Amino acid sequence: MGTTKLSGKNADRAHILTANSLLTGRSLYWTPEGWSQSPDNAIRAENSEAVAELEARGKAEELVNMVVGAYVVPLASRDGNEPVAMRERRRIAGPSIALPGALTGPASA
Amino acid sequence: MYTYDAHDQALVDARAHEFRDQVARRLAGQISEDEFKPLRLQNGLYLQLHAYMLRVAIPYGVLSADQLRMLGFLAERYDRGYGHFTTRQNIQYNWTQLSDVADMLDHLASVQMHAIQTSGNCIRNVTTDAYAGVAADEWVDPRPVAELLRQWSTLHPEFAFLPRKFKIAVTGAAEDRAAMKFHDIGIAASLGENGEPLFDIWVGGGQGRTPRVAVLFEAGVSLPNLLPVLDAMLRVYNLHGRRDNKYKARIKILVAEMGLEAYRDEVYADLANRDGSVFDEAPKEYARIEAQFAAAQQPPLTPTNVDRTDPAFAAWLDENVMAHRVEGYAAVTISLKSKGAIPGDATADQMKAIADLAERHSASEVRVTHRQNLVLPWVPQDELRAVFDALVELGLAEANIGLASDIIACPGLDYCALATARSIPVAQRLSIELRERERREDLRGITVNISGCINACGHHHAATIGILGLNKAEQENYQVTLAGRADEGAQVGSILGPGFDAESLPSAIHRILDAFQALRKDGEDLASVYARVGKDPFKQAAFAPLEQAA
Repeated sequence: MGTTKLSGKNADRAHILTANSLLTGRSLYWTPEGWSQSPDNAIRAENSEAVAELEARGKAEELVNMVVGAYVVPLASRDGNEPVAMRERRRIAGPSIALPGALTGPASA
Repeated sequence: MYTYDAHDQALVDARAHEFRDQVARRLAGQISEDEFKPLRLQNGLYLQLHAYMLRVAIPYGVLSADQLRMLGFLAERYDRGYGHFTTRQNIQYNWTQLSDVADMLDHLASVQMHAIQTSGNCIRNVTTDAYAGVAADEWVDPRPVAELLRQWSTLHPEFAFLPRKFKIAVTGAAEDRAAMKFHDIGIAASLGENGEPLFDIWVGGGQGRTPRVAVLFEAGVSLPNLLPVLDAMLRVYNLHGRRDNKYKARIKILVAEMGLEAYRDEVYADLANRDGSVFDEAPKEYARIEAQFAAAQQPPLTPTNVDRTDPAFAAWLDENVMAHRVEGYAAVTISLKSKGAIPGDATADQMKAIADLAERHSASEVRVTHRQNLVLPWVPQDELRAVFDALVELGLAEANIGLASDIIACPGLDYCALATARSIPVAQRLSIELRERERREDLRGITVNISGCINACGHHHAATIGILGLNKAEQENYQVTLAGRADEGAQVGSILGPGFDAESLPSAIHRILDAFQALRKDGEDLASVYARVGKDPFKQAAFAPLEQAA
């Protein structure tokens, strides 16, 4: 993902930083403690300078090979961490369906 | 079945070994993601919404019992206990970890399988009729030519970076059960007067955002000429295909823009200037492959009068069991579409149990259909009851093959990074409702296919009722198409009108079916009714309540 242009509807929105784990591919969110699978404590960028800082952090994290595909996600409201985009909401929530099969392998973790 | 020779085995072993090294270097930070991404994609490893997804090739949809057992083992050991059979006769694991993939590829290589060219802009897994070699209406077994194409296309150095992905399907029967005309190249085999196979080559079919039915490139191509012609067709595409715009990069756009005649002229001009001797051994190799498939054909048995007194068994015989070309056998299709199930998903336990069934009752063979079901191709007629009873125990005896509830669905937004809406929950709800409905009325020949985005992995364009999930202002919205066909009379479905939200979609589908039942004459199918009456009656039925409410 390239640098996000904060124009139009996204200009006034808060953003959080997301990526996927290099090892597992899981969705991750940048928090004060580092990467987390939950966006609950994600660092929010409230203005364009802060968004640029988050994006720079994402690129730096990619270079140390912990994550891939870092990008910022606009949030629906100033309070709460629900993204605007349906796709991003699904990344947070996981599949909406009951998964078949027993959770047996290492991927179950 | 085809068994790898030393060359085949050495190739997949080396490829698995090579990928292990690539993963190690990536995890050690010695290569960047930009460098690694094309390498992992060439080995079928995608990064999806929630995890890595590994797509494993099932060449022309044919599996041995041991191979299916291995697929079950991989699901159990390295994933979350299940896999997803796709419309391209492959299987996908949705929850793999990067550090496990090399081990998975080693396991696959140990049973003559791999994930090579299941992604990327190359020639993908060649698909064919899931009933190849056993269908009563077959002229030529398409598997030997499919295997020949696998060998020709695997790691073909000239075609590793085509303008876009390239899909080939082969069929050899009166009924097209491989959606051949919806492929970049479709090959229809028949028998010539001298008993040698002849191949009609179709080009420029496909789905996605620009759906096209393939056009006939050349009829009656002989076996010695087949690979040279295909090679030249790919070469001209590779040269002229649009690399500037990925949405115009498929061969269907090239053929449309050049015109079929100009494309054909260029192919034959290329062919005339090439040394074709590289293909001189192809007929001999075809004969070697064909002999292996012929050797696996089973000897005829005495036909059996199967007891149909049990209504559940009789219904399953009617819907899921197909006539066989060899006396005394039947081909059994195992529905992966039981009521409310996720289309194409099978658990590790189910895969292993079906492998056991294949070993006991089907000459150790299983097939994957492009409608996301499995086939036991060699069941002796006097063992049908035992197979049915075993499937009942496994929860896999749904008698709905070819009925409306036999729904195709892609993974959609529950898994896929490209999806714009969910497919699976829509399929689950419709399968429950349609299963109820088809117990009351005849819905044979209705196909319901659902795609979660315009890329059309769920083949919605080719369904009598197609459903395309879209993102409308960050809400799921479902566009309906009608009267598509995937068979020998292939046609692209017509868009009915504006889309429906997820809640109102099922009732709209029921109203379309109501209209169909009211309008049909003499057992017409939906495409025939649509051709006779047009779109308006269906559109009025689908949208009437919404217009009244407006």
